[in-house]
Formats: sequence, structure tokens, C-alpha cells
Amino acid sequence: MYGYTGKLLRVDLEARQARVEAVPEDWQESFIGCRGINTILLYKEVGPEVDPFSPDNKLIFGTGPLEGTPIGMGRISIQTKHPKRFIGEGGSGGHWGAQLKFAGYDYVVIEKKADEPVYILIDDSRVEIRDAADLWGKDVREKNLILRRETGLPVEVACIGPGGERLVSDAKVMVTLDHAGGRGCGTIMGDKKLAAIAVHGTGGVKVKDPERFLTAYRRFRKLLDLKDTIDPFVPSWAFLSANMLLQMFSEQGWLHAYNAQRGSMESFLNGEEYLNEYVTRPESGFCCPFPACGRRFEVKKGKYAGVSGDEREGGFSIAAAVVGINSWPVMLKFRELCSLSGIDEFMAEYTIGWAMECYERGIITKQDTDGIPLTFGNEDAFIAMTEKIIAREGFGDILARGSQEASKIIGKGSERYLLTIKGRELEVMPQRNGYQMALALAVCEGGPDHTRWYPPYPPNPKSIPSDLNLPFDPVKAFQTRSVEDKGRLVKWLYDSRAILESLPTCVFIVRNILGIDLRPWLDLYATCTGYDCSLEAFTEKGERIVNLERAYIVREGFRKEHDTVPRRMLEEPIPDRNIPPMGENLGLMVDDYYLNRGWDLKTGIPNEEKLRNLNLDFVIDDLKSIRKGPA
Amino acid sequence: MKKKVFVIDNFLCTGCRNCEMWCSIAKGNRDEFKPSLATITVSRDPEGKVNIPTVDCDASGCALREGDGLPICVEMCPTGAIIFCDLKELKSRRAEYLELKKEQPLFRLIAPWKYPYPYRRWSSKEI
Repeated sequence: MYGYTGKLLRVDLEARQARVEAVPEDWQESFIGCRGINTILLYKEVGPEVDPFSPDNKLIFGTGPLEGTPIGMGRISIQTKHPKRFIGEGGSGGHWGAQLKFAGYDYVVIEKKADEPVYILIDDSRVEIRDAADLWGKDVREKNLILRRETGLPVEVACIGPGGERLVSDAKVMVTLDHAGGRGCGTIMGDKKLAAIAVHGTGGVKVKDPERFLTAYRRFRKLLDLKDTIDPFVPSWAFLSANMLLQMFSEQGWLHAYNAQRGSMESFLNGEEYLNEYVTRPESGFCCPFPACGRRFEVKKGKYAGVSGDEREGGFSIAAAVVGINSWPVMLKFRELCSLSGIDEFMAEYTIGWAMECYERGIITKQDTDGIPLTFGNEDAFIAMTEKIIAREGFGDILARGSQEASKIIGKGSERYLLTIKGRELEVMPQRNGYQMALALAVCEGGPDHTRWYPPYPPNPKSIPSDLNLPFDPVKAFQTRSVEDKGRLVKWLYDSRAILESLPTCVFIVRNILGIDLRPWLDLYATCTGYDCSLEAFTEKGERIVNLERAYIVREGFRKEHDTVPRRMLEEPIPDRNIPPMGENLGLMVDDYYLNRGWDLKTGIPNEEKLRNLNLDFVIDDLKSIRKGPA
Repeated sequence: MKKKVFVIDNFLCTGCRNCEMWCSIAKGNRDEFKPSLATITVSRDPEGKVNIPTVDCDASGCALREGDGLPICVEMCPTGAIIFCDLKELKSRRAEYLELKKEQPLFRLIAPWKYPYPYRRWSSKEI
């Protein structure tokens, strides 16, 4: 078999047993792999009757056919039923996924719960479920060191930190030290008392047609060539990744400054200052073609001297505006805290930002916050509160449940200032002045998750090939303040990114034409696996995955009313930019999206005809009773 | 022809293992990405402080080369950390690089022979 290993490792934590199963070949053809096959596994095995925190919830780690080749870039998809019942899915980079492939598995499915903390060691065909008493409570860096020492192997580790162990809301799985994936999956992993999965593999990944694969790969690298690219995003992303967006977000008024009360800050973090002062060397995931999409940082002087770590796709620095902070050392300290404890930066920033607004409005006082003055821009308070969330101490224990749960405890109208969609905190993407982003966040099957449709910016118009039939108008669709053509654009973004995450490959390298032209990807997929198909059939695979994900959350009770953005975005303007609230525009775009999707306009449930066309017949019966029931 | 040698700059190595993967194709079974078949390897530090690349190769067995004859690991390295040239050139290149690194922080992330334009930014007009 080319690309795939065709094997699934099923681990029962309660019985402490592992067994190997074959992955059905028709799944591989219909759903590609990684996120796609994870979704069908979750759909088939974790039904609506399963409580997220029950032993019947499962945690799935998936790689795909191109993982282990340089296109895979170490990407994995981690999937589970999120504590808030939507699809808890997240991709992660690092080196773990490639190791899993080299060990001979495409998927790892974790079942049941352990009674004592355990970790799983996968060393090629040897799989052991070992006692993890010495790992529990340790931070991510320590866990990595202990596991290398204890196993005597150069293992790659996917683990949770103390945040996940204490079931902090939206905790992540930390993969290869500082790569993170699956907001909420770390919480479920902690609930299952699984401290880590350490993998060591010595095998390889076979390619069907290596010569054509190399040619396709060289063409792919050419598109990302720093020296002569015509896409301005390529070099800046290659050195700064998301930190290049700091300037852009600031200038465009895209920041959620002071809990999204404003669109900009007077002075804000600067990517170049970061590069000049704090970056020491480049550090990438597996086979990343960019020199420095990830960087190692060190703070050398001042209060936070000694803080160090890796950082990539630095969305946490853009979200510094939420809490009104513009100091690099503070944000790097925050980053270190989050990656060592495995809590989600966005969850912490937006939850603390929300609490800061409540504090400034007098809804909560110093008595509630354990004496910490939670005002916007208060650096010490921000770091102290993050530490309290990780430790689940005092007020930190309330915030560790996430802002939505916290607002239920606090009450007094505090829910008015929440920035959540489907119960999960936003990420940095704007809404009132980025309509395509607002729509994409609203309709996301996994809570607000920008990686499922990234990037929302057009490539250089000069780079768009003339023979490319785009399903949307690239000029109109990317306009940030009009509702025109957003449905078709967002549908296409979702479908194409579902394919990329199922190959898998990194969603952050879709620069130049790679974000709008799927032909280079089809070439790589076909030459690696030997599954050749037309471009239409390839795109349809992505649509199938998204429809199955939608069916999953429909079965969990999500309907059209959940596909929305926070109230603030709909009702309040951005005063410093004179940008009006979204009002009814969001509804217009959601309808447009459903129409293009072939979903019911009143409920958001996929129509039977659409499901049949996508060969998702097994879903039709499941949705029949739901369709009949009270909408 | 002068003898060419491999030298790898630890601090430019991102630990990505692109070199290892393509080497395993060039030197191994030709159709399998299998790190154990590569003659260049990257040991990754569990603390993430520094990667340690090692190479045991004179490029004679490399079946995949670019147009100008460089081995595939050099072509695929994203930062230019892998240098393959004769001793004289090696000396002058490294000396020049040390100087440039002091002047330009960007050269902490990429070698000037891979990307000679430290001033280009996304907002600049020239690109």
C-alpha cells in the first residue's frame, strides 16, 4: 500500500490492552485520511448518547497518506467529542505524526478511562500501557525529558500539561514540546488519565511514483520560493508567521482590543521588534519548507529574564490586544506558561479579557478576584490570573471553566460581554470588518476555528492562473465589508481546507496560489498514493468531510441559531474606526452559505439529496428523525 | 576538482528533517521515505534548545541532484544550514556569514546564500 499503512491502533485504557485493526479501504478513497477518517470514526463510534466526560467518549489521533513524506509536515488531527458537544478537532504539527507513520500506524483510537494515570509507549509493533505516576503533575518539558530517559529511545511525545490534567476548559494536547493541537482534546485526555503517548518508529512510507512525486514537490517548493515569489505573504510568513499580521491587524482595525470594545490600540506589539530582540534561532515542525515559521525565543533581561520556548503561528500575540497588553516579555512569559501547562492561549486571553471588562464595569470586584485588580493592560494581574487558571486556585478555578461557564456562575448580566461562539472563546479573527471571517467562524463545526478556512486573504491577483475556474469572484468575495459572494467563498475555503487537513499538510503554508488552486495538491496526492481522480472528485471529498461533520453536530443538537457570532459583533460598532455592527448582514450570509451547501435554510441540516449525492447514505437515516422532530 | 565537504550550521538547523527524508530516497530504496536509510540525520533535543545534525557522506552515492550538481539535501534545506563546497570557499563563506549575522538579525534565521534580501518586508513596495 502506498502512502497509507492501513493500520489503526485501538487502545483500551480500562483493560490496558491494545489491538491493531485494518482501516477500510473505501474510507480511504472517500475521506482521504487524517481529519476525514477521524470524522467518520467519531461519527460511527461516538453517538449523541455519549457524554463527553463518560468512558465511552473516544480520543482519536490521525495521520494521513502523505504524513511521513515531506508534504505531511508532521500534521496530525486530534479529534474527540468536545466538552461542549461539538466536534473537538484540532490539527497539530511537530514530529509526532511522522513518527507514528514510521512506527506503522495511521490512527490511534483511545477508548475508556484509566483508573490511575498511564502513558502509552508505541515502539514499532511493541505497544505498552505504562504507569505514569511519575509523569502526572509535571510540566510538558519535564514530561518530554522523563519519557526520553525512561524509555531510552529518541521518542516523540504527545502529552498534556498540568492544565489538561486539571481539566481546564479547552486544554490542548502538546505535541513535540511546543506544537499544540485540539483545543478541548487535552481536557478529554486528562479526563481519561492519559498523560502522554510516546512514539518511536523505524519504518518508512512508500511512494507510488517517486519521480513524479519529486517533480510535484519541486513545483510546490518553487511556489514558496522566497527569492522570486510574487506573493508578498511568502517571505514575511516565512520569517514572522502570524506575527507579520500584527501590523496588518493594527492598521486595519482588526484587533479585538479591550475585549473587542475597540479595533486598535495606541501602540501595539511589533513583529520586527520581536525578531530583532527575542528570536534566537529557527525551529520547525517536520519537513516545514519555511525557514522560520517557528522560532525559538529567549528573554534576556528584565523581570522575565530566562523565559524561553518555541513559538509559531503566534496568534497569542495578536490576542494580547484583548487584554490590552503591548509588552513582548509579558506575552512571551504568557506563552511559556501556556505551553508548559498545556492550556489554550486564546481561551485564557479571551476569558481574562472578558473578566477585565466585567471588573471595569463593576460586575465583579477585588473581593471576587482574590484581590487582583483585573484592569485592562495590567500585566502583573494578567500573568497572575493565568497562573491561577492553570492551578485552578480561587477565582482562577471559575475562569478555568471557560468564560461562558464563568458567566453563568457570576451572572449580573456578565454574559452580555462574552466573546464566544457555540460556547467557545473566539480566536483573533475579526468579524465586523471582515465579513468572510465572520461567516466562516459562525458556521464552523468545531466552534470558532480559523484553521479550517485559513487564510481569508486573496493571493496576489497576478499569480492567479488564467485557466483556473474558481467557484467565486476573487475580487468581490474577498472584500471585507460586503455580503456579496461570501457563501460560495466560505464553502470553497472549508471544502479545500478539509482536503488539505486530510492529506494532511500544514494549513499555514497555503500561500501563493496554493490556497486557491487544488491542482498541485491533487498531483502530490495522486503520485504518492496512486489514487488518481479528477479535480471535481477531489474537491467533492472535501465537501463530503464537511457535510459529515455538519451531520455530526446536527445529531448533537446544533442548529441554525448556533451559527452566529458574539452579540457585540452584531450590535455594537467599532467606535475608533467608525465601523458599524454587522446587524442583519450575518444572517444574509449564513443563508447564502446554506443555499450553496444544499442545507436546509431554516435549520442548517444537510438536505437528503445533498447527502445522497455525496454517498453519505448512512447519514440520511440518522437525520430523518431529527428532521421530523421539533426544529 | 577540489574535494568538497559537508558542513552544517547547528544554529540554522530548524530540525525539520527535510534533508533526511530526501536523502533516504536518494540513497535508499528510491520509493520509500525511511530515515534509517539516510546518511544525514538530525538529533532533536528533548528540551528543544538546539538540534544536532550529523552527516557521514561525500555525496558520491547521491542519486538526486539539482541542475548544478548539488546533492538533494542542500537543495531541500529551508534555511541553507547545509553547506557543500571546497575548503577555501567554506572558509570565506562562514567568515562572511558571521559578519552579516551581526548586522542583520534576519540572518539568525536564514543564510544569506539562501535569501540575500534582509530588508524585504510584506509592506515594502519592491515585491
